Amino acid sequence: MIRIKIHHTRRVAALCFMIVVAASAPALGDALFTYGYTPRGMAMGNAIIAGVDDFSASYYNPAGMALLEKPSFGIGYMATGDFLKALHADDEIELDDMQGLLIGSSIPLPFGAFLSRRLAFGFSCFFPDGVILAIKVPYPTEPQYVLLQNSGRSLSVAATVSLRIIDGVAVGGGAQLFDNTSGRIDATVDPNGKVEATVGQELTSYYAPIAGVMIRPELWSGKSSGFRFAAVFREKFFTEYEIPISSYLGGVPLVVNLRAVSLFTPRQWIGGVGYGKNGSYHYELDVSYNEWSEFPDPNFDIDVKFEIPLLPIEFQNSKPYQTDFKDTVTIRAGGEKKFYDGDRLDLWGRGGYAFEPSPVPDQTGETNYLDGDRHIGAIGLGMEIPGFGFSDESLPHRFDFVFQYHYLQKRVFKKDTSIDADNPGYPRIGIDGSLWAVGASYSTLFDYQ
Amino acid sequence: MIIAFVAVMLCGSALANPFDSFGAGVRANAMGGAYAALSEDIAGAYYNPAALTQAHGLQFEFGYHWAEPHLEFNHKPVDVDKNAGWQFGGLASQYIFKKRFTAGANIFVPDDHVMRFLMLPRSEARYVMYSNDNHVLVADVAVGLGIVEDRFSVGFGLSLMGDNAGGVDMQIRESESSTGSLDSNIKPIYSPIYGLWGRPLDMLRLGLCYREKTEVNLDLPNTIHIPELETFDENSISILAESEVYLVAESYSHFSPRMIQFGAAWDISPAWLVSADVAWQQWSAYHDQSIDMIIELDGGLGQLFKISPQPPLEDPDFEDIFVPAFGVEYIPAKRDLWRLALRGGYWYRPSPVPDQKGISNFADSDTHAFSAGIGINAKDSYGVAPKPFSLDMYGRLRVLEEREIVKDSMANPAGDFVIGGNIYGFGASATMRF
Repeated sequence: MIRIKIHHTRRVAALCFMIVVAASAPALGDALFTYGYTPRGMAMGNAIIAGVDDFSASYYNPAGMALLEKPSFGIGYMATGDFLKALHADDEIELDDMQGLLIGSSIPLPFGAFLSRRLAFGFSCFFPDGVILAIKVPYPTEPQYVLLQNSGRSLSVAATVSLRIIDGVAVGGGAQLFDNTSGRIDATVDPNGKVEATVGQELTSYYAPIAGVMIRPELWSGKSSGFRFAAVFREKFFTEYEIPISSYLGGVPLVVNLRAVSLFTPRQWIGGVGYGKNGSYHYELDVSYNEWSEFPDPNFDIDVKFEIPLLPIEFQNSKPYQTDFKDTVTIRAGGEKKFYDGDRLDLWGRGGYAFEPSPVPDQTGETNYLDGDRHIGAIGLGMEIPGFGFSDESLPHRFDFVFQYHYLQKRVFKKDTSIDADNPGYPRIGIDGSLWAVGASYSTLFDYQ
Repeated sequence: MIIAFVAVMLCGSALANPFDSFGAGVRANAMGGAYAALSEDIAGAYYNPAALTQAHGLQFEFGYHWAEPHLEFNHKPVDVDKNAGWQFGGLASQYIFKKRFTAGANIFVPDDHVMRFLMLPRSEARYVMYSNDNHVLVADVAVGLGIVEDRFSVGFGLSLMGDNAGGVDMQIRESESSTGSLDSNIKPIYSPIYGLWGRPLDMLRLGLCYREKTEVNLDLPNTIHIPELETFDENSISILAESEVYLVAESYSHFSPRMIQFGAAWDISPAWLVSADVAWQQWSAYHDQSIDMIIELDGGLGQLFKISPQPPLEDPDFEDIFVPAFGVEYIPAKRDLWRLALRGGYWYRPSPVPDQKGISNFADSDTHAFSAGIGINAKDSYGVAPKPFSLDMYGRLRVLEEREIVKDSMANPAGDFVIGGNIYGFGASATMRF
């Protein structure tokens, strides 16, 4: 018996190692970084990495999937808007509203023997309406909501796996798929004015890993309530765009190499402590360290080659702009409590708060990146009714709703005296206003039939 | 010209998405794609969503496909990119209101890129079926609903692709650093798939599937602004007036024809299964996928360089075709813990491409595909896997008949040419069931 246990422990350790090494999991797109993934999580201020126990585990903390008893599937919709204002700017800055569909699932795999209740698989997807991948790179000095303008500009697909090490302790990992864009445009105009062209463009994929651990002591102690602990790591991600344009005008080469980095989301280290009772309440405090200091120059890197015969002209390449973003610490707190426990209906109330400091330094130079500290408040409602339509009434249907509000602290930047008066942010520019998000989702448990 | 042809082919291969060209599953491939009535695995998300209701419980499939073209141009080899990538997906089945409901996804991810566009001048020769459009991620999701348990079901699915639009706006300058902006958007395109499936007799299964065409639009407008250029600053002598260069590249890509596929499968005995399908493919809707490049020069550069208006692209006049397919599966050995299946298949695709007598040089010919496969279905005696798992493999030889292209005019720069060759394919997958 002892030998069998040792044997199983080695296999579990090997699986654990594989999962952590392969740790390829969900770090969903920028919209999810800004607002969150599911109505339940958003309503709790996204302070849910220690308490997640539904289809959203694949995003918030993949380790949580292995602690589920039954598979969970969910689908929902999110919409966002803003009341932002660029202060002292000549023109208003439009921030695109974003809507999108979210789908996810967490599936404990019903293996037997030493893998019994060990492994789970999950995925999380976010499909912004009308977008697979959108990249917007404004002119460098153009006033812009440098962090918020890319929300909802990338489809996000992530797959995760999870391993329960012992009752109440699990690890998980996975990867999110991202795309880079590269290619070329070649056009030749011969001396007779005839055009010959070839265009190539490709999207190459790369994967941003995520890993998580969840510890729920009440599951091995047999108690129904207690503290829960979790940690999640999400790798940074961004997308690169590189397309050289080569045209030959009557034998004169006009070659422009273009390169930009967009959709940056920082590397995150998140820790969370929760306290809850199954089926009754859960409260949680999460802290996230966000490595915004690696934010790259978001402007075009342009390399020009255009020499017109007999004209002594030398075009200049673009110049780099320092971003000097700083790392931030985000604090999130949230909770949920069942406030109505009926025969055919359970109701949950939720609330949450988060403080998201801005990583953007004072814009006293040429660039006009507008961003401010955000206070995020959220409320939500959850409804649960017994199964209908499915063969088993023990598989409930859940409906969740959220309203989330982001208040941006007013911020005004005064330009240095060295800045040209024709800079759009001269002599000062600032930001004020708010963001909002609403969402609804349906989720259910299911059996293997 | 041959060198140019070879150079172009180094970059790629073309029509129809990977599922159209190479099949959507290992067992399906082994059975020649005669799968509209079978489709009891993730391949059903492509071949017939309605037939997914034959699958019970939960299953995951993970596999790899590889296809290596050995194609010729004037009896000399040309280099067409291989097509290879991972295929994976899953099925989950559930009773809803006492009706079986099965949802599935089937995804193919090419090795090298999620998507590739390669737009060539029209006169450039290319193997039109194999040079670009296979290089794309394909994601089919589908649901099947059993109307009469194990007798009749309906299904619906979506195939996801993406349009590509947007370009750069730049200012290249002499007196200060150049600068630019970009607004690029790849938008999703969803093409529906509808299916019907029935089992009128215990031994006979029928399937009917409609797949809408897919086609990607590429629209890349680029603008380069050049301010007035001066020299001898102190005298401010203008040597080139303010100019603008517009480069707009437009094209169609990744065409997959509208299809209607009907199939029948006959369980002759517990050991023998045969299937036969015929698919109508509407290739007449095919647009020329050559690049339509518009270049305009305004201002000073417009006075230096003249651009002639470009002739519009012509209708390539592809033809609709019928593609028959046949498959067979034989189980020579069946034991308590394992079962062995041998498979074979054949399909014939007449080329939709008309004789290339004019300026275009779309290379394609009637094609025969022969496939064979093996599948092992095993139970886990250690009790780890709750249901039997499968390991499947296939190999396929695709033969392009030799075709001679004779141009109308001796002055045509492409000249007459002969095409033909083979494409070798291989794939393997593992399926876990719960």
